[in-house]
Amino acid sequence: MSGIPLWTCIPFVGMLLCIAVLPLVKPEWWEHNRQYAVILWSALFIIPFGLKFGLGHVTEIVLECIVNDYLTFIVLLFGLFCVAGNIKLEGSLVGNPRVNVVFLAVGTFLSSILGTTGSSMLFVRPMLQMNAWRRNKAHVMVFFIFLISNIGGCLTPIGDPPLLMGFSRGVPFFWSTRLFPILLVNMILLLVVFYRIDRKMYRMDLAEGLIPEVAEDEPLIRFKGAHNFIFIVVIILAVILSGVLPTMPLFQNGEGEVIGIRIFEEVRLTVPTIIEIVMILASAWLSFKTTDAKIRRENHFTWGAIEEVAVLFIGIFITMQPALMILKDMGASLGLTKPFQMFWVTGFLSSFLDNTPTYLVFLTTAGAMNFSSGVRTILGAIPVQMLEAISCGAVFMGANTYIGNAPNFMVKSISDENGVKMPSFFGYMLWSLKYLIPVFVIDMLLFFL
Amino acid sequence: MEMKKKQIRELAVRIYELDRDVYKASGSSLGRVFHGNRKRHVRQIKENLLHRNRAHVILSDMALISNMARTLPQGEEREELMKRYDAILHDIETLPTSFTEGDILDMNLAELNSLKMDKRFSEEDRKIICIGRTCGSGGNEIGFALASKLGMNFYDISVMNEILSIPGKSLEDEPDEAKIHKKRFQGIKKWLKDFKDFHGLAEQDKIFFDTMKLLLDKAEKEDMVIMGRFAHSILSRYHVPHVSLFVTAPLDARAKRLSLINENMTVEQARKIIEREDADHRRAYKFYTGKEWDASDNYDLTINSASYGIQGSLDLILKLLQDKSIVTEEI
Repeated sequence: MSGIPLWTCIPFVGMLLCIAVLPLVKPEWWEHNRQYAVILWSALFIIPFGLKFGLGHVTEIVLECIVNDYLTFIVLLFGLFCVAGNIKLEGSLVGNPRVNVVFLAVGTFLSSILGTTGSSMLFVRPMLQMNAWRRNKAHVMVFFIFLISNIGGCLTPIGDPPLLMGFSRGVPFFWSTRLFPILLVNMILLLVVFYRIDRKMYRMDLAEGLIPEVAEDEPLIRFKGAHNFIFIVVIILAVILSGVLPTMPLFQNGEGEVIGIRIFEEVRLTVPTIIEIVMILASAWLSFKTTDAKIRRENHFTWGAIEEVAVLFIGIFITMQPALMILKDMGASLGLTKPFQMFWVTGFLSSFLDNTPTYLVFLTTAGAMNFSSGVRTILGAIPVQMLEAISCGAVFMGANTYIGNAPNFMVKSISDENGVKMPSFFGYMLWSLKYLIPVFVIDMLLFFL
Repeated sequence: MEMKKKQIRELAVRIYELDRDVYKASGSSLGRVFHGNRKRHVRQIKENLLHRNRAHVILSDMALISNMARTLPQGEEREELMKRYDAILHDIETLPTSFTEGDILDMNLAELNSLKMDKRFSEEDRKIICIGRTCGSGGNEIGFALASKLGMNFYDISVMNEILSIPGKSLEDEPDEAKIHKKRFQGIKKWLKDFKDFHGLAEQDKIFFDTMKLLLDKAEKEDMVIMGRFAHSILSRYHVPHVSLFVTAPLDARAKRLSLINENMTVEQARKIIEREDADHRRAYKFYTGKEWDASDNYDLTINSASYGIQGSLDLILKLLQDKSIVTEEI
């Protein structure tokens, strides 16, 4: 559909402003009433849009986004949240600059294997636990979001959903490993900066006379509920299948469409999606059934964080639809022909919008440019540097805001609940402006010009 | 005055206990604000309550405790904890002057004020004298003589460090010599072993934390003279009453003395050693305390031992301690 007016994006902006401002000015009120803000802004999109373009059409848009985007998003998050909450990593490691750097580095690499969400959920509590003795620790969780929740996911299609979409459109599975040098540069730069900041904060903690309680006789690291790693593997498998199954003839009808249950008009819950959801929910259920509740208690497992994300993101997903539609309309006419342009535009939009459709818009745009060589996808050939720029923009710049990528808000919420005073929405953006944007400028100069 | 003092201490205890109970109710150590020794934390909270520029710390701690409390399931326990939280916030607001209005520090309560040395130690407090010194200033000799004169135990932080770095040794074992560690990279295998042995901490940091614990433990049990650059800083941080002294002398005088003590050392060599050690001390002190090692405003008294000599410095310190009724022994 063309001709979506810009004013239809106002509810999305309103939703973002509520998330950014209300926790600062009315925290108590916001905690108990955020669902009403979601309903209000969603209604402010649905009703005027329905009046202008038809009720049936807006229903289709909303159902499409709930069934095909939000549902898989929240089920994956929920599954990993549950399973990771049943794994307790404990031991005598003391949070300090070098341990934190090692942890961040390991977590970053694992993000490409477990996915940014899986890795974030697995590492967030151990990170909090190790640094519990410190007072100045919010920066640790900010860099956690930068590296583990975002940048680390660039090496495989499992790492971040946009790359999975690329894979299902013909980008080879291991193609993303080409991004390793870029990941390495980003990791080195950010970890050096992090080490310096953490050392400064650590010195402040020392100067305050804080002393860690070291469990002398404990091993450095010990897992409780380690059998849950099996469920994590199952969830990762479910994610991979969600990208692979739709391309298989078995899951397609005569017209080449993916088979599924018709919900409304063109909206369908596909069989691969159902398989993914069932596998993830079964893993979460089995994880709960087979794990001692004591582990969850020790992990301070509560439903608060997932509840907050589930409520806020349904509002974000619904209200962002006009912006995505405008982007789809305008993507090709933006005149983006250079990799560095793709990097910044994909990245900027991924900071606020869902990075998966954003990636797809620019992948489609690049595929339609009739390049004669490059990576052969079902959308056309895309030059390597161009595809690298789109991939990195979508994956890396999700770190720019709390809403840029699914795990960001989860890490914030879990940290808030566990003794860390995380920066506000805008406060976090200042961190990303100060530390991430210069790194992305270096990325551009080194890799995308 | 006593009333206010009691009121603030009670409030500090209530804040500590609220955190403890919230932690117990949640069943997880994640999110606990005050880890470890109760007495130290209560002292710290009390001090934060007294100082305007620390008010944000108390408010931030309270916010973190309430965040944790809100994650508890609805029920009587949560209700009760939230009521206690509200009551504490209310009582903080009704302190002599609220945080938002101004300073609640009452100078009469500031017992560590160096101008009020004679009121520094209460009946229950141990008498602790901390002496920092520059290399070659004779501070060690002064400290040892002072401890002998007052019949107090004598400890040296660098000796504590030395002993704590050797597994299985205790403070009662005599070290051969207290040395300043020079850290050199000894290969990845050793690095990994240290990483495991020191729980991911740098060796110096682990020793610093252990020294802190040992020192605070001893400070509760015995009168002592303690040598070393960190002692007074650690005790100040935990509001343990003590007297802090710093002994120094001009570089030339120290170099000359060091070359006289060490037969094969020239004055120039001694000067280089002193400069290097001073730099090491300054750097380490800054790292662990955030302060300047040789800034005289860190100490109750800074003595130029070149002006008084070792015996003269000792006499001066004893006179001060007697005048302020900290010790009663005859010189």
